[in-house]
Amino acid sequence: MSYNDKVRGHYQTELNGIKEAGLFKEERFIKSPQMADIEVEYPAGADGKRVINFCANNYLGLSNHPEVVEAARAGLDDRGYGLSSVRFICGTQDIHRTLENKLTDFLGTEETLLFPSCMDANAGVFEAVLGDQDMMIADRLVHASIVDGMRLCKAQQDTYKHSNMAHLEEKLQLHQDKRHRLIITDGVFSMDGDLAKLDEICDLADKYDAMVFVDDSHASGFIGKTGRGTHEHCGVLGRIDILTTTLGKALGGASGGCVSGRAEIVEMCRQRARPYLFSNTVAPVIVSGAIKVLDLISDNTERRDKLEANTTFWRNGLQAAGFDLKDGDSPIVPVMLYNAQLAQDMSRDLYDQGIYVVGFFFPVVGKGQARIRTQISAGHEQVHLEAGLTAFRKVGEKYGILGLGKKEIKAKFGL
Amino acid sequence: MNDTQTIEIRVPAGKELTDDDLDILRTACEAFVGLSCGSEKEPPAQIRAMKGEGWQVRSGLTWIARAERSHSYEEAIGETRSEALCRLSQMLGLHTVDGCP
Repeated sequence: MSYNDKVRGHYQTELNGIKEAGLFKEERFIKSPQMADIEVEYPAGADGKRVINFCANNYLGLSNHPEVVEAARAGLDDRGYGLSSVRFICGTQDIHRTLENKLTDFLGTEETLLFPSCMDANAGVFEAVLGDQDMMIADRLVHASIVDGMRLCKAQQDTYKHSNMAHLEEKLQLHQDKRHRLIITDGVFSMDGDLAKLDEICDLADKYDAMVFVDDSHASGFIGKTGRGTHEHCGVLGRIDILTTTLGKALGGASGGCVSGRAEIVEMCRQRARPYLFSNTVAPVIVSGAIKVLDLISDNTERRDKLEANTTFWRNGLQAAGFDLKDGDSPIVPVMLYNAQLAQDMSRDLYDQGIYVVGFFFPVVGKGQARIRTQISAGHEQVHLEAGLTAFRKVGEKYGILGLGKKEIKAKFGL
Repeated sequence: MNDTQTIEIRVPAGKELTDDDLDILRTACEAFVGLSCGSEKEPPAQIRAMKGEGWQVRSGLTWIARAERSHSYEEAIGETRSEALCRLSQMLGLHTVDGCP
């Protein structure tokens, strides 16, 4: 079939439908490195505008750290640009092994295997280790990459209400007849910034003979006393069987991910995980940068501690201004607006004020749960945070929402 | 010439048939026709071909449950209707929201 008018018309109609639903995604062109102050061209063709970035996953501010950039440059010089191969043919350099060993040490696991991204790690891990006699039991708010990975796996699947341990226990009881049970959760949930109750999850896993899987992409490098992740924060280091995480957020922000955990499970991924077997190796330049990142954050907790202080300052400032926030301990601080149009209008006005944030609404988050998700970084200085708070106060005043809670905002703006 | 033969089934007087009821009746009748009219008695060529490539092949009647919403859908199979529906319900738990990147 050729790409004729009928086929073209079909896709045009689909795209129009996405636009009419208000779900059309546009890219904004950033004309500077990723950091607190960035220059953005938006809309396309407009002059560059200097804004403060409050929507990056650059939690530790390492995406453009000079030592990381220098290490990446040295890796480029020493090991070249690409390897033109998957890992198991001729795509594994000694630096891949070095990075995997450093990740294992940092995460407190037995073994680690790199993937091109954490999306790929999550897409491949379940199919590699579970079969149709097994049961996956996932929190209902796990990341989309986990949902896709579960769909690719032949094991049976079930869910439990978000962070509801009684419901998880019911499901574990229900599925005792299965060969293996795997509890699946994010460490930090990307919508609300809340942390999984990993201590309780591990206890239930012990009680009902289940394994535990955690995607710690929004936690690795800064959650926990030394930044090991949610498992450190919850006191369950060594009790997580499968941990996936990304190098694309706090750990340098380039790309790449990994499966880390029990040695046999990681080896099963090396033998069977299709995104590992059929994707190119992680490029030497990224591996070299990531090794430096791990060295930097293993040496001391300075950046992690600064992120914690920045988050506390930001959260307190927004609360004092009268915004309705989701509770949480992570640098994801959602400002709750409930109304989708309000979230879009406020994020646009904040951009005009030089603050780059994004509004999220259904179906990205639940109906009536629209919000602006702010993300704090160790790369933010006091001046950035104060400018952000000033802009938020100004825009909040414009819409008359300061001091209002969920009920009042809903009454004023509807859903 | 239309050589399709039609079977008429009487439904108890006063019984209101739902779409689900009709699905069950149609599926059951098709299964009986398939079993009694001979065409399914010999393994079809596809099964022989798959077995020739080393697959152990089983086929049989089963229940399928399907849920659709906008562009999303999920399907589940089960040996009983309730099993298929239960599995479908479990799968739909992952459709609460799209989620944030």
